[in-house]
Amino acid sequence: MTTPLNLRRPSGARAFKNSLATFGVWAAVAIATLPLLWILASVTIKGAPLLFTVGADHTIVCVDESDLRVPTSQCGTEEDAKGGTTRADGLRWAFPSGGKHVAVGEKVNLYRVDTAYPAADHIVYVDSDGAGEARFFSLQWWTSSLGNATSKDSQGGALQAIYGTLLLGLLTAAIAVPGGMLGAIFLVEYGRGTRAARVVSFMVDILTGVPSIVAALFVYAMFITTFGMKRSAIATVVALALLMLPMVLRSTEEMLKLVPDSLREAAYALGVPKWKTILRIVVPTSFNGILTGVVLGIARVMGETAPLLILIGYAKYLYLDPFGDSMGALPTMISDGISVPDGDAGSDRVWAAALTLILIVMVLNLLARRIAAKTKL
Amino acid sequence: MSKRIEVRDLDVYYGKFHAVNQVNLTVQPRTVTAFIGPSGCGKSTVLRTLNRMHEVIPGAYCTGQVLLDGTDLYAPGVDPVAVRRIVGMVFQRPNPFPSMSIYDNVASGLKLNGERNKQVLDEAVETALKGANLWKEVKDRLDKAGMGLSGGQQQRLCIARAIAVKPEVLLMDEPCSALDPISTLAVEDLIHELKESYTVVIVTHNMQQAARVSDETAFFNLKAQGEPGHLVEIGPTEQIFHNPTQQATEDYITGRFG
Ligand SMILES: Nc1ncnc2c1ncn2[C@@H]1O[C@H](COP(=O)(O)OP(=O)(O)OP(=O)(O)O)[C@@H](O)[C@H]1O
Ligand SMILES: [Mg+2]
Repeated sequence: MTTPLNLRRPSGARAFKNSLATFGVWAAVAIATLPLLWILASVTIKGAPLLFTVGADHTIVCVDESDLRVPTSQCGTEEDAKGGTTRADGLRWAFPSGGKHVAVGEKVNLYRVDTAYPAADHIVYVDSDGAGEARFFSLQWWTSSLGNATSKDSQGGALQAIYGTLLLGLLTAAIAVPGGMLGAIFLVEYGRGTRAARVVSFMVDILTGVPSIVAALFVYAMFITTFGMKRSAIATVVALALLMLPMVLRSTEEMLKLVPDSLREAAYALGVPKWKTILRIVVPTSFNGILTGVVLGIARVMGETAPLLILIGYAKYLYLDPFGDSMGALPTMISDGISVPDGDAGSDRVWAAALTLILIVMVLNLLARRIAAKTKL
Repeated sequence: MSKRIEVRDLDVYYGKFHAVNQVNLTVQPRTVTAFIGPSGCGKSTVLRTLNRMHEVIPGAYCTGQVLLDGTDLYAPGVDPVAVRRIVGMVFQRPNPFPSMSIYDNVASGLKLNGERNKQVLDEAVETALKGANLWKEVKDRLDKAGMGLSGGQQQRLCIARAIAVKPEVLLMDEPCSALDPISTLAVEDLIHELKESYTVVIVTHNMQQAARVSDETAFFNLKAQGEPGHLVEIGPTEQIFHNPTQQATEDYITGRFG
């Protein structure tokens, strides 16, 4: 008695269900990804010109009396511009993205190429030295701080904010990574099932749920109100570390839990003490996962704004001292510039700062992958 | 070099669960002793008490004595880490360190215990890999990941790792259950060689293997599921297989068990 095997693909209602499920997954992916792509694209499009200059550094455009742009040819030739010809009809050469008027032949920096006219048509290279020079990075953005540039001015970079963000991220990681890892090692390797572990775990849960502004207020009340210290980058770091520590701890804990007990036993059976087993076997085995958690944690605190606003504020000049009471950072640069009218140079800087933040996090991620790939044999 | 093991009145527990009841046995130096018995009767459990590996499991403990050349492993003040340096272990499932290369896996025991001399390490690795019959297969890729080997190769890697630290006693918990017949034979040959200088205790489900490799055989049994396991008898392998004193042993060996 043999019944024929049924090996056909499902059809009808069941096939429909299957394809519906597949479609659902793809739809969910699209719904989740498209807005993300949209955000990334708009930040990149709006922010990139300040970070990356492709083309000349020194350009001006031709405008009429009411600052409206007119085709470059009406202002005369490039040679006219260089020669300093003055025109009777009120047309003049001007800086493209702000109200700043430029004398013909003066050296200016371009950050934004207006697209109202074809670029070749309305852009004139004033300074022959810089003319047509293509460079990928806009040096100014990365190497000079904003300084006294107003929202109308296009000059000024973001160095003070980049420095601040990197420093805050680094110092926060220096506290939160060892703290979080030690906590996780305690919970997984030593404390399993003990009362102390339950207490620590409970505290971490509470800490995880604390909004960043509350952490900042806590530090403010503690350091500044109670002990009379001044606002400083270090105070900010303490607040940020309070936010990062539970993240690192939880992610490290999950990774350590994934290491099978058989590996620990293998090491014990070789006569390796417990602490050495943890240090040389357990942590290296889960290193990639731990690193990912750390990078995510750093990315998260680098984007925090509330603790910075409360504990350090925002500075347009570069201050190096972490104990000083002034420091810029990219998130506060964004929040500082957000009220600037659209189209002004300052509003471009907001997007550029956002893009810079994303880039820093991306580079960090790539770096971590690099390290992870190297440690894996 | 090799040590005599004496187990006295050993009771083993997992928390409240009484896993093994009253084991008394002696393992002579330079012999191979096989533990046989049905699944769940406590062979692995007893084996793990011999190098204080049992207590690694939360809540697990044992009472009684395990004497290594007269020294009680469970006496107060004895460091389990020191015990495990003398009594090595090979596990049922291969467990190479995933973050390490083949070389580092074998050298790990020495390295983690402070050996830095490259020449000493090189020699130890080669000897151990040859001993585990793995040298020919891996000598050209010592720097590749240990996880990249086949299951059987991984198990031989673990054996190499265990013997690289030159323990006095080697405990093996079903070391061949993941191996093909050729690797199994290699390991059995290896056990014969190890016997020259070490004391070996091996758990196995393979009767022929027990008969082939062991000098002494211990038969464990349990009365019923949930009851503690116990040692039925221990004696020369020859006698256990051909002339057991207990009916249960004969039933098990002849396959009339249960
Ligand atoms: N980690 C553990 N926690 C609780 N009970 C355990 C644990 N490990 C084993 N046991 C119990 O102890 C008893 C003996 O187990 P053990 O692993 O020693 O059997 P075994 O003889 O090695 O069996 P097998 O031949 O299947 O390996 C079994 O009842 C088992 O359920
Ligand atoms: Mg077992």
